[in-house]
Amino acid sequence: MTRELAKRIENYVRQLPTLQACHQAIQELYPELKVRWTKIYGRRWSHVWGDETSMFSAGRRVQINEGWGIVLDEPCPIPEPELTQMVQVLKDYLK
Amino acid sequence: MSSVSYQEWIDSVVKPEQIEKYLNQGRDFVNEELINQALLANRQPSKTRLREIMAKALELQRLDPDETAALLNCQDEEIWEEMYQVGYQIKEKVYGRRIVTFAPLYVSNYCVNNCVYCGYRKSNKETVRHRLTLDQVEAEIKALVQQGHKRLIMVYGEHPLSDVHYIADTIACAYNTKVGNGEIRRVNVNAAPMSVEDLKILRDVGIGTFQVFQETYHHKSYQRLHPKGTIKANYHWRLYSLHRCLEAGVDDVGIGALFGLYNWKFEVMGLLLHTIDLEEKFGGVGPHTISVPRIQPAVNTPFTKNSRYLVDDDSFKKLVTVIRLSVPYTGLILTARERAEVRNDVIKVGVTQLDAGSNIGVGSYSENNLDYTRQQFILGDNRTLDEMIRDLAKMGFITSFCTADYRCGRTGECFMSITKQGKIHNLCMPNAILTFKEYLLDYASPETKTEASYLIDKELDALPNEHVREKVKSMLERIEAGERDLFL
Repeated sequence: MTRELAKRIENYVRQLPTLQACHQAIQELYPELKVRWTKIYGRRWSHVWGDETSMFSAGRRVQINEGWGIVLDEPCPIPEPELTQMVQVLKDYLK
Repeated sequence: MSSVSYQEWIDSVVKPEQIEKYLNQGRDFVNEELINQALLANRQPSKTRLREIMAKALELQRLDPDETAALLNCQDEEIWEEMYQVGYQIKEKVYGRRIVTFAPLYVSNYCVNNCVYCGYRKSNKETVRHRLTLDQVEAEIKALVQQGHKRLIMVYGEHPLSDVHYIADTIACAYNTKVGNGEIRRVNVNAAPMSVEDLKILRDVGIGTFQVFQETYHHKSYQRLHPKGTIKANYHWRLYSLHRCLEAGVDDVGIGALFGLYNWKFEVMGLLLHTIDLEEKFGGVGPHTISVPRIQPAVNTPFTKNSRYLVDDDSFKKLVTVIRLSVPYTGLILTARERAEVRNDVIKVGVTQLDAGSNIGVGSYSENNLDYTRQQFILGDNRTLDEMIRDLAKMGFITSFCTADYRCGRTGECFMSITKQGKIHNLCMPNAILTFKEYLLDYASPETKTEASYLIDKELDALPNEHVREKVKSMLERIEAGERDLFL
């Protein structure tokens, strides 16, 4: 999964901003996953991009690094180990 | 500060290019001709038209200036009664039967301005000046946390002594202070207009909402009330402060007007035009909250009693109602400036946030004293937080200390998208229940526990989604077992 995700991001990053490239790649691998991207400022997770229509239910916050986080709809369809791997890949792209 | 260095300081703060980029063909959005024409053209609205406008507001659509002007000009008390009902319905539809509660924390009252209506004006020699040290901020925070507060609005006078770095340091101190189970989880800020660069410093420290009130939208009155040569005399620097805020990435902003400085109908129209301009320029993101401060007496400040535009209680209730209907999806803040009986009445037309247990003297929470010489104005409602919660419970409202939205990415465009569809209470009511439970366990008096605990079961039963209800039940059990800060 790690390699596949990175490969897809690499493909998209040539045509799209990094964030959208990451989003697109994840949506291809996990079409059922609803994901919103946030910038983290202290306690504040500011909405940046993603599917707002699914925000009517509670989400799960996953911190990528100091500055970036994602919010996923629950129940999260990705097995925990894969989610951890996904975050590791995203760390390389979102500084 | 000498006059020369003061001017240099103003020049270093104000960035004209950060105003000009937002003007519409060189003009600001407060089109007085449009406002006056709208008020004139809609001076005798029919009942039918007013009811059509109410129906539009109930669908959570923002009203246009003509529609708002028609509501403002309503002369029929029966229709006003209908509008009060609609205000309540809108509020319940968007936000549910919850009231978000916070405390104001005045951090520094040094001020370079000379606003004639303000107790903190530079020339007011009867005001005792004080700027909190970080140790004093910590003491204030501890006193507030021990009341049960989770949300603050931190307030700063405009002065080099309270520049953005000082503000950031005091906010960080507020976030880092813990007392037992308690802590401040959201710090909103009311401070002077700043540049985009300075606002990014506040963004990085993790503020909630940034508030700047225009005071009056009426250009000539603004110039009259804010003496030439002061930084606040720059109408446009203030008017576009929240545009800069959104540009800087602090995507929750709060607007307001100080009612009593000019004609209240004009000010409501100004607030609407402010909302519209923000929404047009920032992809639908308007103000997160609208505040309705009404001028109150202040030490050695005769203007507060002599202004020809003072707003009586009846007109005040009406203006709050029209704002509720005009921007149905935005939070509406009613502060303890107002007397308890006014607040208890006006809450019902659609207010979403209140402060409680407030003490606006700089350093006064930790000293537990009421010192008018350290206050910007004199508060009308001195109920403690516990008393307020009990009174709200008697009216059927649950007090919320929820701070989840801005910690879960529900900010700016995302928050607006949810509220405009009337869906935010799906998340906020569960969080209200959870934070209210924390309050009852950690801070409530026996009397409040007796009178307000019923709200937990009542609101839990009323949650429409069974899955969410079960989740909240489980979280309530965890809170009973000692966990804190659980949220959806």
